[in-house]
Amino acid sequence: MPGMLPWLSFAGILAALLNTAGKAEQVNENNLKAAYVYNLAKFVEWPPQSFQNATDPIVICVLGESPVQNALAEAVNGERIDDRKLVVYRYAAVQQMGHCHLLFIASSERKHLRSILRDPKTSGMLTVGETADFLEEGGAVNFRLEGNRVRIEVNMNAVEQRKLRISPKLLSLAQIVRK
Amino acid sequence: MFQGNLSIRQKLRNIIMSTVCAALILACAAVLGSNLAALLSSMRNDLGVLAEIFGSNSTAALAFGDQKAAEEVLSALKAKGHIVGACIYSPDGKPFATYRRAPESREFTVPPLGSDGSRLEGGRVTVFRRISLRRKIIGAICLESDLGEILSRFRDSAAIVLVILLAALLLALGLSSRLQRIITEPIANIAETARTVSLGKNYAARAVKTTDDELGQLTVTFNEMLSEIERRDAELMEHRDRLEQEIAARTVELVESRDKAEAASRAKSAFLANMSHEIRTPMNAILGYSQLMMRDPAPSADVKKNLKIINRSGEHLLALINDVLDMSKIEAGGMRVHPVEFDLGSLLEDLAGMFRLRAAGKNLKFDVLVDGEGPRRLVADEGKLRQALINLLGNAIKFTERGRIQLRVSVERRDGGGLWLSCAVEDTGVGIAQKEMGTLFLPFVQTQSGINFQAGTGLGLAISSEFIRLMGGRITVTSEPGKGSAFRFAVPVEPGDPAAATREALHRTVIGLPAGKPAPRVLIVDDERNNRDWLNQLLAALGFAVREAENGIAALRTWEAWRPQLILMDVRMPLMDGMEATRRIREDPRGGKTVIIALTASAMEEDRLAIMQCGADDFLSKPCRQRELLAKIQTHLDLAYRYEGDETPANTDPLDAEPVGPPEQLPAELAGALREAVRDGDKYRLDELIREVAEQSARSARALQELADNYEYDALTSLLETNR
Repeated sequence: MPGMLPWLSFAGILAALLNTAGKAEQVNENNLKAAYVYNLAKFVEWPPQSFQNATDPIVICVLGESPVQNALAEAVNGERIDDRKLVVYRYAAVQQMGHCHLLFIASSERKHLRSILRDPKTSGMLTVGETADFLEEGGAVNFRLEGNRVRIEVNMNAVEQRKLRISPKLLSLAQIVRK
Repeated sequence: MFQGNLSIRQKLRNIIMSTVCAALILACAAVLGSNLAALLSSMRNDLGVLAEIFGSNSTAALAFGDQKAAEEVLSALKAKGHIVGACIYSPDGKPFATYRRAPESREFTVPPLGSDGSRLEGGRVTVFRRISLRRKIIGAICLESDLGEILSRFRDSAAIVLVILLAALLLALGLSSRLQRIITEPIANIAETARTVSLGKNYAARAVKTTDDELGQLTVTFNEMLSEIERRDAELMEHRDRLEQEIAARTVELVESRDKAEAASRAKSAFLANMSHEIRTPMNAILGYSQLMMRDPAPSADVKKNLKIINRSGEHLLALINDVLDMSKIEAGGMRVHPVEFDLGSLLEDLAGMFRLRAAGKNLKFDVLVDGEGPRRLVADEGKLRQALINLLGNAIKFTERGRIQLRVSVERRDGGGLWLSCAVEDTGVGIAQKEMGTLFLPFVQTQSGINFQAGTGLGLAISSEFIRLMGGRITVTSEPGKGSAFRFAVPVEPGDPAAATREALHRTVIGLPAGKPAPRVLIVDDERNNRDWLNQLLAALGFAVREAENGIAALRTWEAWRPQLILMDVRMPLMDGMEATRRIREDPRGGKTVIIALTASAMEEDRLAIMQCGADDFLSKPCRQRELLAKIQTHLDLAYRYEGDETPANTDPLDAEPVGPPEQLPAELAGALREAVRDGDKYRLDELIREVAEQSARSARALQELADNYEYDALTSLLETNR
C-alpha cells in the first residue's frame, strides 16, 4: 500500500503519545489514523447548540468500510475531552447516519465524496478525510502525506461554514486552504 | 577599643558614623538581597510563563508528533537571549525537540525530565513544566536560563544603592559634625570651666547653661557644686581664721597661766629659801656656841660629852628641817646626788653617838656591827646616806619597847666588780602589818603604829627610800608584827683615798696658828651680830686678825682700807648683799687676791651657784661646822695649824686664859636693867646692855653675851643675882 511508510514512522511517536499500543512495529495504520482523529478532536470546538448539555458525548462517526472504526473505538474508550465522553459509530451510508460531531470519511468512500459532503446531514459535522481532493470537494480537514510527513490540511471556509473553531495551535501546524 | 584618648567630639562622630554606616549597610544589603530575590523570583515566574506559552504552543506539534513543528516553536526563544536552551519531552520522558542558543557550543545539555517547578543550579535556572492538552498530559517542556540578565540588572541596582549609600554617608557626616555640637559644646563648656577652676582655684567661675536637657541639668548641677565648694571654701577660711584667733587667745592664756605658775613656783622657792634662812639663823648660833663651848678645856669630860650631844642633836634638828625641804625638792624632782669622800667609821661613830643614848634611855641594847674587810674611805652621798640611816634608826628606836636595835654594815665587791655598801637596821619592835607594807614608803602616810605614837612627820621613810633610790639602791623591808622589822638596802659606792683617811682619822682639834708669822687678816661680813661674834671669837682665839662689817657697803669700805686676805661673806644682807659686794670686789683690779668664802643659809643649789658665779672662791652652808670652816680657810690661805696634842702645846686661846666666871661687880642700875631684860626675854635689849657692860669689863660682857646668845636665861639670872 503506497504511503504506508510515513504513517508507520509516525506511528512510533504517536503510540508513545497515546500510550495505547505496545511496540511500534506492531502498531498498524489503523491505530495511527484513530490517534490522529482522536487528537484532532482535542483541537476543535463545536458550537454549543450541537450538544444537549455539558456532558453530552462527542460523537465520532466513521463512514465507509474501514478498520479504523475498531481502532478508534479502542483509542477513545474511557477517554474524555473536557467533561465529554467520546463515542464511535460506523455508518455504511450517509442515509443511515445520525447526529455526529466528527465524521471520518474513509478512502473507500472516495467516489461518493461530493454527494456525502454536500449532504445536508454533514453540514454541521467536522468532516475529516484522507484523500487528495477531500478539501476540493468541501471537506474540512484532511490528512495528507507530504514526503515522509503527515500534513494536516484545513479548509478554513468549510470550518467557518460549519461554525466550528479549530485551535490556532493546530492551525499553526496545518496547511490552510480556502476552497 | 582605642577610643580612650579621643575627644568626645571625635567619639560622638565615630558613634554616629558607625551607627549610620551599620544601618545603611544593613538596609542596602536588605534592599539588594530582596532585589536579588525579587529578580530571581520574577525570573522564575517569567520562565514559568515562557514554559507555559511554549508548552502550550507545542501541544499540536506534540499531539501530532511533528518534531519539526516543535523545534520551530522553540526557535522563537531566540528572542530571549538569556535562554540557554530548551527541550520538549514526549510523554515517556524522552527528548522530543530541543533548542540551543548557540547550537555549536555545549553550553546546554538536555537535562533528564524533572518534576514541575524551577530550580537554581550552577548559575542556571531550569524550569520544567508539564504540557497538557484537554486536561491530559501529553509531554513536558524544559527551559534553562543563565543569570546574566538578572545579574546585570542586579549590578545596576547595586550601583545605584552604592551611590545612595555614599550620598547618605556624606550627608550623615555633615549632619553629625553639625549635630554633635549640640552635645559637645555644653560639655566642652563645662570642661573649660572645670579647667579654669582647677588651674586658677577660682571657684567663682560658672559654666554657661545653653540647653534644658540632661547636659543643661549637668551644667546646673556643676555650677551648684562649684557654689557649694566656694561656700565651703569660705567657711573653711573663716574657720581657719577663727581657729588661729582661738589659738592665739589660748596661747595668751597659756602664757599667762605658765607665767602665773612660774611666779608661784618662784614664790614657793623664795619662801623655802626664806624659811630655811630664818630657821637656820638661830640654829647657827646654837651649833656655833655649843662648838665654842667644847673648845673650853675647863668643863668636865661629861659636860663636854653632853655638849657634843647637844651639837649633834642640833645638827639632827637641822637635818629634820632639811627633811621638809628635801621632800619638796624630791617632789619637784630637783634632788641630786652629791658624792663626797667620807669615812665610814666616823659616820657610824656619829650615828652610834646619836642613838646609843636614846637606846639606853629606853633600856634597849644598841649594836653597830661592821662585817667584812672592805675599805672604810668611801665616795658616796654621805649626807643622804646619813639621813637615811638616821631615819631608819630613829624609827627602830621609836617603835621598839624592849630588846635590841642592830645596825649591820658591810662593804663588799659584787659580781660586777662594783663596790656596794649594804646596811641593815633590825629591831625587835612592834613590826609592820602586811596591809601597810604597800604604803610604807609613800610620803605623808604613816603606819597605824606611827599614828599611835603621835610623833614624826611621816616623811622619814619616804625620804630615805627616795635617797637610796637616787643613790642607785632600793630599800626592802621584812617584818613580823609583834616580833620586829628589818630594813635593808645596798648602794653602789666608790673606794676613797686611804691616805686621806689616816690624815683625817686623827680628828684633831685646831688650837692655833703657827707662832712667829703675821696673822692672816680675815673680814667677817654678816648683818647678824651673833654670827659675826662667834666667828670673831673663834678666829681671833686661833690668832687671826679679825674685823667685822654688817653689810656689803661697810665690807667694801673695810676691804679698801684694810686689804684682808680672806672675807667670810654672808649672802643676804640689807643695803648691799654679799653677791653685789663680791662682784664689786672682783671688778676691782686689786680684788683678785682676796679669797672670798660665801656663807649662806639657803639650801637652794641655785643660790649657791649664783654666789659662785659672782666670783666667790668657795661657800659654806650656815650653820657651818667649825672643822669645815677651818679646813676651808686652811686650804685657801695655805696655812699650817697647830693641833691639840702637838709637841709644843701653847695655850693661846683667850677663852682659856680668861675662863668664864662670875662677872665683875656691875653698877646696880645696869645689873637691874639686865635682870629686867632677862625676865622679859628681850634679847635685843639684853644685847644693848651687854655692850654697855663691855665698856667697863670686856671679860664680863663676853661671859654675859655667851649666855645670852645661848639663851641660857636661868644661868644669866643666877649670875646676875650673885651680882646684887
